[in-house]
Amino acid sequence: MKGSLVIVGFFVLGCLAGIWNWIPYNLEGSSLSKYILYLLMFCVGITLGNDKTLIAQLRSLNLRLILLPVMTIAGTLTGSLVVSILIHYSWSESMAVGSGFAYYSLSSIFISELKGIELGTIALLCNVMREIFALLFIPVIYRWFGPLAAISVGGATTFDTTLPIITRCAGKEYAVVSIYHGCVLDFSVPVLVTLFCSI
Amino acid sequence: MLTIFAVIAGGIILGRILSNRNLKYLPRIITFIIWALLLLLGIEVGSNPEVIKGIGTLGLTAFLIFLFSVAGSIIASWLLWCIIRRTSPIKKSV
Repeated sequence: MKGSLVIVGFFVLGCLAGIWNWIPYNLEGSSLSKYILYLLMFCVGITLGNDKTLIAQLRSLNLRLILLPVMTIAGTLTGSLVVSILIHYSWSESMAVGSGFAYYSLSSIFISELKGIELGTIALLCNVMREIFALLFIPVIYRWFGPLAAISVGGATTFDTTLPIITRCAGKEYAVVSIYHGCVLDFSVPVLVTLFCSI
Repeated sequence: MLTIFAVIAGGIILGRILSNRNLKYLPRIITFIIWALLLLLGIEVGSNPEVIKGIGTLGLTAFLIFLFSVAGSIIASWLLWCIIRRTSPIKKSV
């Protein structure tokens, strides 16, 4: 928990730095965060490759776990369909936002272009919230609802930013499910977002 | 997407090569990288005036969609977990 709070602290610090223009140059459209993400993936790869017991753990994995991304998509879309009763946006707009699966950069760009900056901003906020929630609460979700829910919450980020946290609390045997889950959701983001924006 | 796969694969191969070494410092490096990424995300959000201006009203809508979609995915994946655990017990990993 302390570690996650430090993470959020860095996010807040970044927000303040952005608001008060502490950074002399414009980061928007820069690929700096992309390269840092690659570095993170590389380090995660090293930890996976360095673990000799991983392949044995992989073999013992339940094949029905392949269904996990389907459950994440179905659950997320049902939730965003239900909530459209409470908000001033249509069900398809709400589902387009939900289809970001915490992949805020891609979904907000897509939605801004297809539906305007307002819904695009909602998509950014909603999916940033999902990622921060995942970073903070994956250990709690794991304890209450099991390892699959802990992965499902992370959405498309279980492939990168939340992977280390999932591996730490659910064990390395779930790293493969987590990566697979994140990959499937990563691909589904552009497909589902454009689908719901065109309805 | 393909680049990310290549990067992970490269990491795994390097991890294999270094499998006799003790890589105790790596989790710490990973933590630092996550901090850097979140700092950058914050800067991006903070330096976007559209987002900061409408953060109240848009934020509430975003929060509701976030709340329901996360709840939905937790329920759905928890159901799958219950089914899997009942039909074929997985070793309990604490």
